[in-house]
Amino acid sequence: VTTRLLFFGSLREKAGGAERIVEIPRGVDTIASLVDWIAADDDMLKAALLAPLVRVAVDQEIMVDRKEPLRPAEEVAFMPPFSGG
Amino acid sequence: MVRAGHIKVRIADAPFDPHAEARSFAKTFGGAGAIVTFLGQMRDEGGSVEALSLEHYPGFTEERIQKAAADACHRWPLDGALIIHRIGRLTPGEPIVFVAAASAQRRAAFDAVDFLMDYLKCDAPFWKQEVSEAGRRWIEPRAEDYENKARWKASSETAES
Repeated sequence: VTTRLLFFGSLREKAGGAERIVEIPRGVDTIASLVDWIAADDDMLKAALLAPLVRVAVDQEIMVDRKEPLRPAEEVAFMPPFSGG
Repeated sequence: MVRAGHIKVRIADAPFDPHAEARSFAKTFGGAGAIVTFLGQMRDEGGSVEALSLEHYPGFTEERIQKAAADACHRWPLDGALIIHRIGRLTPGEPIVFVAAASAQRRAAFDAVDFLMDYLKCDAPFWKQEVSEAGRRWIEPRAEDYENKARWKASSETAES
């Protein structure tokens, strides 16, 4: 499955772009393991993506538990704290 | 309870006229006894900030705000609600956010607007960057914003789990 990874706000700068199109390999089956895979050679990005206030949405649904099974998804978004208004 | 068609959410990528919006909202809900509107505009911070840059998550942001507005309609007897939020580059004095609520009762309209603003401040997917001479800085909600939000008890509509 081809998945679009989206990085918003400050995470876009840390990830070096707003979007990455990837083929998530077999075995990457939680948010936690997805982050390990995305940031395998970038400890700063890894820490930023795992920061407690970062929200993750899978196909536009927020996932609270990083260890919950990750189903095949078209879109996974990493969102730093919101600041509207 | 309000019908979904009476909740409007708009993400604006260009300046909008809050006064025209307020007039048209009051006309649409001409039978409501109370209309409350709120306008948030970009502070000038004594001239130190040149601009704000706001981004959102297209589709997701609109859907989340729509849910919060539906939640407001469950909490208070509203006839309708309108939320307009800017994205893109803004300069001091420009409207950022406009929220309006119509109800038979003024307290319901005041509370709904207050609730929706607290929601928009820390729970709506927007990211805000401040541009000044010193460079660019991402803005995060202040402790005060989270405290304001906590005044409203959670409900199933806006809970994230």
